[in-house]
Amino acid sequence: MLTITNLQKIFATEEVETTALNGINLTINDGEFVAIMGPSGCGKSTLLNIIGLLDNPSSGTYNFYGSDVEKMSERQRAQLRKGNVGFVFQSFNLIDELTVFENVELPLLYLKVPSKERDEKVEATLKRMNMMHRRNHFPQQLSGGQQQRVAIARAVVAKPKLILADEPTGNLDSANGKDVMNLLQELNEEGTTIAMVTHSPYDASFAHRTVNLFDGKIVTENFHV
Amino acid sequence: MIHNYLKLAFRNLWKHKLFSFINISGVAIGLTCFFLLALYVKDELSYDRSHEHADRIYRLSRTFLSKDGTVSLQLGHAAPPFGPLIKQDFPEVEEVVRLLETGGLFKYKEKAFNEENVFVADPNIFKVFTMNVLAGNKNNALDNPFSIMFSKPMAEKYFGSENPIGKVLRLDNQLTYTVTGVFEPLPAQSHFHPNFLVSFSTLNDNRVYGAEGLRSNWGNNSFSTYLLLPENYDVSKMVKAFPAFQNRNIEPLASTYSVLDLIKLTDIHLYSHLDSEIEANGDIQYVYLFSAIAFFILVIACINYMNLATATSATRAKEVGMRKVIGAARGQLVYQYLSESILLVFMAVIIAMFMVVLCLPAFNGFTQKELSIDSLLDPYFAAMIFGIALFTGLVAGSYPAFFMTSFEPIGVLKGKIGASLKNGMLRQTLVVVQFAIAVVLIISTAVVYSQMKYVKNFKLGYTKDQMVLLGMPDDSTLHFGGIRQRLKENSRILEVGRSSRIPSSRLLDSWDAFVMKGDSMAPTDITIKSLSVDEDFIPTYQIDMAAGRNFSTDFSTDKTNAFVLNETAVKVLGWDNVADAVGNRFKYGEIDGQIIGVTKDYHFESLHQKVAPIVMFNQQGRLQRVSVHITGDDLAGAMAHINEIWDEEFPNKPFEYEFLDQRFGRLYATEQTQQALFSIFAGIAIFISCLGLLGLSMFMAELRTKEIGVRKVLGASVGSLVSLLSKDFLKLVIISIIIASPIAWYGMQVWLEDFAYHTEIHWWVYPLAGVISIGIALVTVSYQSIKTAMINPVKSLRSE
Repeated sequence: MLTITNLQKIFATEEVETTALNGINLTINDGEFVAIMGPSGCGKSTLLNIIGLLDNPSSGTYNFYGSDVEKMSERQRAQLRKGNVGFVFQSFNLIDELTVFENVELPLLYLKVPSKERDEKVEATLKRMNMMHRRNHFPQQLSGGQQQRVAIARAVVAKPKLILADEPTGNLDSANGKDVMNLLQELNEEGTTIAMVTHSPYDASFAHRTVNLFDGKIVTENFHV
Repeated sequence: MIHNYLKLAFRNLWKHKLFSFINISGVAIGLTCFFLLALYVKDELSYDRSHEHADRIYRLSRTFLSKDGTVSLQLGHAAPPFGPLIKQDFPEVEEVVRLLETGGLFKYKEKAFNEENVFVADPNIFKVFTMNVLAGNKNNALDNPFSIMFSKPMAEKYFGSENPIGKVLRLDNQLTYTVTGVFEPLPAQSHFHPNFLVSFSTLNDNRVYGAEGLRSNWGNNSFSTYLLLPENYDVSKMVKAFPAFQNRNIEPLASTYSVLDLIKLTDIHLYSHLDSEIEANGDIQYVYLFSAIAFFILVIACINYMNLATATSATRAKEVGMRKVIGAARGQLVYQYLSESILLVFMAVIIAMFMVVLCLPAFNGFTQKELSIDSLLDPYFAAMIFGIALFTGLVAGSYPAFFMTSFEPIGVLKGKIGASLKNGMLRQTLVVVQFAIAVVLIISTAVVYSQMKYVKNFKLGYTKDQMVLLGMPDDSTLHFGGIRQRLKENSRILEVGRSSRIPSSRLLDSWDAFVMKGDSMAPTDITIKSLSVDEDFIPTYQIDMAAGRNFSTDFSTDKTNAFVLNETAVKVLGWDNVADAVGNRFKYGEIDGQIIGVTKDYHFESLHQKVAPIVMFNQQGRLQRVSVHITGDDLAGAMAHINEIWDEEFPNKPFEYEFLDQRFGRLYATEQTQQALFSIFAGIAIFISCLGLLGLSMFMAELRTKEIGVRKVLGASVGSLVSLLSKDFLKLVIISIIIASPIAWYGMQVWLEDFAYHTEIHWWVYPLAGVISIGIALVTVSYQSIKTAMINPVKSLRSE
């Protein structure tokens, strides 16, 4: 379970201070699928980054599966992130110089999974994503939808408890977008917790709950049935 | 994991082919220079180390002091009695061996050659020096008088495949010697290279030297004397005991004018630069200089790598970010980038090895060395190469590795990194360092060049062109008048003069000088070098008289009691006006006579030396060197004429000659080599720096594509954009010129001080170096700037 209490995030440059998040209280239960919506600049991605342990809050507390993480160093967060959190980005962020297989293999390498087990896991994941036939291709040789499927494969290969998706369909056409959403839903039904930032009400409809942010604050929460 | 890194590294290299090429070739060229210079330095440092007892062998040197205590002569040789007396007075000395270098006409059957590198040696030479004796018995081969040992190549030259042992040959048509052994030549890295060894007992013969001379001739300092000392022996103790030793054995107070010292065998090549050495030695300064150049070129190449890698990091930032998001620790990423740079350096090493092999013959050509590729395979050297490659990879890769992995993952994934790359303070500093090194090398090259030109055009005070030098057999002095007459019958021969030494060699002989003080002759404290000349020497060399007259056959006393001084001698003897000296009584050694003339100063020795005070007088028996001044229009005819007369006069002597200007060139051979090396390495330094600059400018242009697009849309001209893009780089180059100039000035000032006569460092050297480096940098940068500035703005804006 993730529990965020009275969380604030302030970005300070030499001249201006911008409050990106202001007094956020949020709990995400295991197995939940949460969508985070709101206009541009409301702090959605910032919140997602903090949830994903990519960033620290300026104040407030954050309990990540029983650990208080708000004061952790980048190094400690990296350690905790590894294997526990999978990320899916709008722009896929695949490494261009690595093949499909190698991209998906990467999290397992950092987890020091033995080679044979790695192969099995990557193959299983690629099969599941229907990308096995593209295993030796480079990202540039794939369509956007295919690239996002590889990115999702990479996010889930280590079987993380939590998947964070930052506008996962933003760069895709509707057919491919729907495809990706179905995949996420399937993963959620298998027990993975998902937090997703999106502009699309259609995408949000896949979630159990939508959190609406405005100017760094949660303004409404809708529960879907 | 490493497998994964390397795979990625290769793909990255391939993806950015041009940059990889720039990067690898820069590092490879840098490493090639480094390896070549390392071979050179290794060779210089390995002199005389092949001897088993190398660290226990010391050479005796002797310094003569003037009466005022200043050094007048420093010799790497000593008089013959020293060796046995040291053995006697210092019983702890294990062995003493003396070598006397000589040469002469060797004749075996119909084969006759003038030979050099003939060393008369004590029979225990093989106990001191480790030499491989291939035939004969090393324990007694040099025991009997008139025994001679040949080096292997010499034995083959005279005897072919015959067994040399027991063969008899004639030296100088006088004495016969029996071959008692054959030895393997010493390696090139030796301070002496005997072709022949003659038994020392031969010298006891009065026709050769005489036993008495060996016992008592303290003035003939031409014996290289080596001591084999016990392990861990305190050499300074022996040196401290030398003054008493000399006073006891030569004469009381001998130590006031004669100083003995010891130098370690292995130090001779790099540290000993005395007035007499067996061969011209190297110089530790050059070892330092070349090491420094090697190091700096490697630094420049490393800087290239660092700069290009950090610049390209913009394109790899996303990868770093993503890896971090997935869970890579910073250490793992640092490790990844370091292994990449090490991989690249190792690729460069392989290329560099090939380039070394290709360049070695040319490099050997102008360093006058016989460096071989084998040295590269020597385990220590191979280990060093490996170490250097690893080190270079680590140094070159460290900055990009730590720089790139410091990115915050979110910022990177959002593409915030480009802006921070444009003004990398460190990168700018590195470019400045790079160019500063290049500018120092350019200025140094210019100064070395202008000094060489200065030397070439220096008014020496005598004619050095069209001068043929011959060595007269000693017995010809008496009938030389006839030979001279015959030579001059040909109109191509202008003058023929004789002397004891010839210009461009050192003046090493000096006796005591006496001048009138009050009403009696008093000795002077001044060392005046002696030069024996005949009456034709001064006209032959067209040396100008400052006062008085030259020697003349019209005055019979000119052959016995007349002196001609040079201006410096007159000045140091205390006459303000050169004319005042003429007519005065002067005594030199045992010769009491009159000063009949004064010549203008002329630069007999190299320009490294100040003009010494010289006294010239006509001493029969010492005029072995003949200088023939010929007209330049028919060299072949003149030489044929001289050859013809030589063959008639000396039918048993091969006709051998050399030209003075060649000898003159050899005086500055080291500097010529330096000049060549400096220009080559300056060129390479500039080239590598420019490779880096080219890569950098390409990346900067890429980063600023959008800015350029916007500026174009707003109406900027191509010219203004080119200057915008080039300006930043030029600023850096100008800063580096400002930094480099004083450093180069200081360094070259030190270098020039080694010449007693040297050019000034002209002011224009700095702007010249500046213009060259700016020009090259501009050409390099503008290619990319123009290309970027010409792009259609629609294109450059869309690419963002």
